[in-house]
Amino acid sequence: MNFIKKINKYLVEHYPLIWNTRLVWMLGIALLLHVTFFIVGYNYVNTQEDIVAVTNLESFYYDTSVVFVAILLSIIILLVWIIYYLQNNAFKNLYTLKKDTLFTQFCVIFFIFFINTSQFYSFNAGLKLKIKNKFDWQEIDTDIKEFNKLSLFLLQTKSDYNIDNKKYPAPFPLEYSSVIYKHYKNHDISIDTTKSNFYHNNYYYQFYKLDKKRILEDSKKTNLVINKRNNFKYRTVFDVFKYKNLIDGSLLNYSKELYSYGQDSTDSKNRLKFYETLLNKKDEKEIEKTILPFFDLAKKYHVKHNLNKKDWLYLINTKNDYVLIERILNFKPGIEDKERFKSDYYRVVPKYDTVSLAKRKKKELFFLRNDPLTEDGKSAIVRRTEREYFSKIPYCDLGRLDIFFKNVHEAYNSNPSIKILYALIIITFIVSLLLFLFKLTNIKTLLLSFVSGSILLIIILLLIEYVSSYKQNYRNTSFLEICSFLLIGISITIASIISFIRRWKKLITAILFSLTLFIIPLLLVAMISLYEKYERSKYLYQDFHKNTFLIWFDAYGFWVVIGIWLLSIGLYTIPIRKWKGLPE
Amino acid sequence: MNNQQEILIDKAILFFKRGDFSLGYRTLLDAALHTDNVTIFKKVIEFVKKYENQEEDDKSSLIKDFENCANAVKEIPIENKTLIGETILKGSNLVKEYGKNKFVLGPVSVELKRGDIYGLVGENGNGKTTLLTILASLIKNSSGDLSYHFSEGYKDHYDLKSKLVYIPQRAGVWYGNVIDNLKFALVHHGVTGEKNELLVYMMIARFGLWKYKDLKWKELSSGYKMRFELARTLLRRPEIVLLDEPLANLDILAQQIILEDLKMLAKSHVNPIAMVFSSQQLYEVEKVSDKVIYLRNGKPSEGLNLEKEGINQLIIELDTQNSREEIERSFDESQLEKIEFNGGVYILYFKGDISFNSILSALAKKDLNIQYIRDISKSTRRFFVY
Repeated sequence: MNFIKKINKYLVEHYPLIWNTRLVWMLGIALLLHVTFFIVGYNYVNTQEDIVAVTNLESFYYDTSVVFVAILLSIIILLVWIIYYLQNNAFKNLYTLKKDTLFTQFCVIFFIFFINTSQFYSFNAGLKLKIKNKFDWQEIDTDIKEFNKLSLFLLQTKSDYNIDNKKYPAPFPLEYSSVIYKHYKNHDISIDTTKSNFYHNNYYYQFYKLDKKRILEDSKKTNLVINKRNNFKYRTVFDVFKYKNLIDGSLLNYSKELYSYGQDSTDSKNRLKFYETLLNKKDEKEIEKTILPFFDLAKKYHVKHNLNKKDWLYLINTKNDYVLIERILNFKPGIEDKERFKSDYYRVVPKYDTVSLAKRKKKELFFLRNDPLTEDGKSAIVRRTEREYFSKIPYCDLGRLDIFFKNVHEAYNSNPSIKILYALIIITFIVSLLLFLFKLTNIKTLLLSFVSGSILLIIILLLIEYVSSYKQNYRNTSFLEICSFLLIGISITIASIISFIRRWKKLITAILFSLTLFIIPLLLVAMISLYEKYERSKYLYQDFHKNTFLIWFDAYGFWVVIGIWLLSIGLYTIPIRKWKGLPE
Repeated sequence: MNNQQEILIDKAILFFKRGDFSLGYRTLLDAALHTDNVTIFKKVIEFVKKYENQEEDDKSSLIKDFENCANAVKEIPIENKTLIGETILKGSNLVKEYGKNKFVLGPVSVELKRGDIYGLVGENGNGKTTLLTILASLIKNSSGDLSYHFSEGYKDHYDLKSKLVYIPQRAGVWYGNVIDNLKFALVHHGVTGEKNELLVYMMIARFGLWKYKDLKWKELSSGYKMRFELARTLLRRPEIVLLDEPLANLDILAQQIILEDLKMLAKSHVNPIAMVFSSQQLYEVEKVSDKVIYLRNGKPSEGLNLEKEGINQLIIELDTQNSREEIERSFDESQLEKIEFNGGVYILYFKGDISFNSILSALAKKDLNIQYIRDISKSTRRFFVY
């Protein structure tokens, strides 16, 4: 307690603003709060199961009870602080103040609010540190690459093995159009019959590449919707007849990247090269070697499966050009599922029957003589095929492994969403400004400002409604909304200046000042929106391309608006100080 | 020309030796405050601790320490200043209108000089607070001129208000203890560190708050709240102080001490202050004020020509158990002009050239049972009679 008293004594005798705002203690409390949340974040996850509980690291905070605890703690701390902060008011007591004291005071309020409401960042840092300590990214990256290689053989989704996914060899990837044979002679079809196409299983197919750049240019000029039925002139057609068997689905078509976290285009290229080389060998032994690591990886990452090499290799179908036989279920089948899928999973095996030739009719003997005979020549060995059903329906449930890799990758490589920071700053700014205005004026002024603001909003809405009804078919209401807001916003800002210069009633000046301080950032946003709308209007029938300024504003506009807002508060504190000195 | 600081210190020693310990103590503190010297402050505070810790009323055992302290203060030379009498506020024909057919204050003309104490009296609702708030620049006058002449001028209205100190009748609530609040006030006026603390302790001692320095607002009585306000005000080294009913809610002893303090502070030869205060305590106000402004229906006594009425007439305020007839019988018809009775006291108006002593003699002869008697011929009390 003595220590606290000593510091307080020093502060009140030297730095009244710091003493009044309890900045030192609030910093201490915030530090404690942040350390606590860091520890909580650090202990929040321990296992892979914990990490996959939510889909991204931010959700560990915002989609759990942690956020409520944090908000409640912030509210309690800040309310207690406000009580102390409002106890002394040098401005209302008309003590001598330097010109920048009020602005500094606002900055301190903002800082205190921000550090006491930003526990998310400490929690997130603790969480990330724990994940980093527990899981090595290098190792996980290697495993992701391995999973991606293996994914070719996981046969999870049939559509992944369609020919439109094929990316190698050249000229693939290609787009294609197909038409049922009955319509081939029709006019309005998606195949350019004057160019190469082929027939396969009742359909005609045409494979091609599109000149998309030309399509874009032409569509801008003509405003014509270009689709598969009228894009013939943009097609470069390729004869891929020799790949026609792949149309029914094959491992040779597969190109999907199972897990993309931390993987770049080189990884993707290498993977496709690997597929091509491996599959072209048609060597089952080699494929077996490739799928073997799966069993270790499955164990390591708790992947549930019932795969066995024999059935799996059968489904890979090396001998038959990797034609897709059946998929491996991506979930563990229940009893009903087993009944439903049982008949789909089988292999066709040859069976040999010994058929006695004795007492056979001539016609029968004619057929049986084609089959090999037993050693004694009395019987024929007749070959037939039989379905041998899988003892188990194969499945491989990768579960939330995708989320696990995503969250670990996020822990290593990404920062929290900038939108969270933006939201936090805006909320903190608004609350700080409200408190600041309350400290400078009183609750009556604040409430009247709120009432005035609400009335202005109603006026804007009525104005829009009136103009819309007056000018029928006026569809561009957002333009009207912005213009109305700008008109009223600028009027209030100008009125606030005039009211101060012309010495209107102090209460009115205070209300106008309060409104203006909230309106200024909105004015800026409205002006930029209006400018963007104007730019957009130039591209009536074309895709809108933002100019350099708008692109720059997208990137840095938030900070510019906040900066100007802060600056305007700084500028307004000068007349506010003078306003306080004016007689009623 | 004798040095005023030395005279003050000699007075302090004399008061203390005579047994007027409190007066001597406060006078010494004033003299010490004039030095603005940290070493002196330290020495005086050492004495203050001894003084405040001695529980007996008789402080004569401290005379040696007191003298030592006083001599130390004397060693710091303070040149005579000629600030008293400098005009600091001038208001001409000040009028405040609150709308048609509503109350109107003024026209009132005021010229405040450093060291002046103006008393503002009048019944409730006659414009005392309005006039004070106009002078404090809290409200704008409808017409008339108001100017301030501070020693260092002022940059803007905020600066002006920082220099003007207005203490309302109901001073605002403050939080925290006495010391912190005073330090907070002082640090804003550029006094930091050790000097800040010492000066605050000096002011706390000066206004008799020593035993209460760690208390909070709600723990202080009305009198000590007023003392706190005065201490806070004086720390700001104001040149004008405007007080609205500072004596309200104070007991008679507290009233006397506050008034005496106000007088001492206003007449300080180092930092004389122009003071205006309103009060219902007519006699106390008249006792300390250099000039009393009486307001009736917003008009000052000059404007009502009240000053001229009965200017040479003897007017007596009398409180007695005796009847009106008995009072009348005490005086010749030729002497007594009229008697007014407001249910509490009698107001007696006398004709011609008659002295107060002869009235006392006449009353004594008739052996009347007198509770209270006062000559109000020159007092604004006479304006309160209807």
